Amino acid sequence: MLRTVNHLNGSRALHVSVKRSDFMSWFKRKQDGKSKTVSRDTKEVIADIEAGETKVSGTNTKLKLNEEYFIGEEAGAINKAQRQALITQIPFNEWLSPSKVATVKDLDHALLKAFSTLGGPIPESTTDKSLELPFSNLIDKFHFTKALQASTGTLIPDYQLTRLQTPRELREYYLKEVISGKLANFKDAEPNAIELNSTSYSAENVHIINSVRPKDKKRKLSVIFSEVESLERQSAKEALESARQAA
Amino acid sequence: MLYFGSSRQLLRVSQSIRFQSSHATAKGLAHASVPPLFTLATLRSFPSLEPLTFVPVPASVFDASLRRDLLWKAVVYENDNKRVGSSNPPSRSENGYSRRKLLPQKGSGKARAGDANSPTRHNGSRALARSAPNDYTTKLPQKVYSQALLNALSYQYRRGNIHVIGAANALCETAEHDLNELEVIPTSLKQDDGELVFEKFLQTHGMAGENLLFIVGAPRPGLFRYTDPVKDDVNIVQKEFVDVNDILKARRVFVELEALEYLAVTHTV
Repeated sequence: MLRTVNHLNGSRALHVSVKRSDFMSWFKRKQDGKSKTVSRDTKEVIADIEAGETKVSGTNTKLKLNEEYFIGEEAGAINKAQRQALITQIPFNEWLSPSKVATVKDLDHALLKAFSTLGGPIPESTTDKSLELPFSNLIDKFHFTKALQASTGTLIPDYQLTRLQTPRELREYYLKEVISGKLANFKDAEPNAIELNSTSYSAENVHIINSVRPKDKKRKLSVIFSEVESLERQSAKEALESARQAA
Repeated sequence: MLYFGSSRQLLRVSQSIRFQSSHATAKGLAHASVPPLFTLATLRSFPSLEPLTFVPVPASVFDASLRRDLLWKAVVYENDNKRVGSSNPPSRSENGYSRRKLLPQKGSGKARAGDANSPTRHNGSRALARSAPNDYTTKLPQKVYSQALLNALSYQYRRGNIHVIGAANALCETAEHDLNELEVIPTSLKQDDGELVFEKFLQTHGMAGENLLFIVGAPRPGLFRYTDPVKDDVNIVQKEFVDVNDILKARRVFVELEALEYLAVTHTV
């Protein structure tokens, strides 16, 4: 006999579950609970169906996982909305306008408004000669560019701040980079981050194929699919009619 | 054909040609101006990025002309030095097969063969095997590396991706919820909402999902802690450990004024 520690102690350590004396009782329960319906012969059932007495039910009890069968919101979306609500409540120094300048009129308005930070006379329009004068000192330039950035909602890179000397040059920079939509179209994450168009190059031997937006691509593809479908349907119909006429 | 009496005469003529040619080009164009020595950097507060003042930065730091060759050398140098060199392929003395000659030297009709450990055989050992640690480090002159680091900074500056944080001799006051260093703190002592503050910063400036580099002058525990949810996008480096790789890979670089001064001084060529 094998002398193990368990044997010496006299304890049942091999099995940790409770002893079940009525192990086969489930079998009896299962037998009792069986339905009492009498099974019919398959041939009889088939004969009934063929005779049209019994109808085969084709109802599908499973629901499709369509969006309209669900109610409420997903937990992830609720959490995201709650977090966004918390973020909007966070106090933040919002010196920059949340809306970016989009029109020349707004830009000119912001430019003339920025002159008020210099303390001197404010020019009446952007065609004024005073816009072509360079800033008298760096402090004036700082206050002017800060006010311009704040009202236009767009940061000017430091490199451009160094290079641009007059309000007119700043205006041209905004027209070229912001109002033209160049900055908005720049997507660093995409392979063709820089948007080129035919106006970028005047040479005859340079031909630019305009990039197509994914939205337009999808729309065109769906149009093609629907046209193909209608053509196929039409050809099938014609084939059917010709077959009928031949018969 | 010109005739020169002696080699000394020939040397003198060639010297004068060289002098005249270099002298003529040194004059340059009539209206060419000297390139500026300084460029401007806006000092900003964090996290609103509100401008506080301008500071002049030497053009050698922020406006150095692009040298792709130096950047290439520095990146290769850094990546070489990052290699651990832990490969340990067996040599033919360490490979497990027998020293038995597989075939007799003559008469089998096959090519001559030694033992199964030969590097030419399938499952044989590695020729010129080496044992770890393998040293892959390369060297680069300090001047070249320093110039490359400043060149990387200049590249990012010209693209408008560098924001300098600080408030030395500021023309404006720092706003209530802002700081003059790259640090994130909760809005109040009771609430631990630094993560939300950082997320608000990302959303306000449209930087969510972008690769950001923060060059700090000293350890910033708040920045380190509250950027944890977006740690894949955020790289926080102390000024002493900045790599050219870090600067070039970043979409935006935030550098404290103190750290910028350190980089400019230590990497002056």
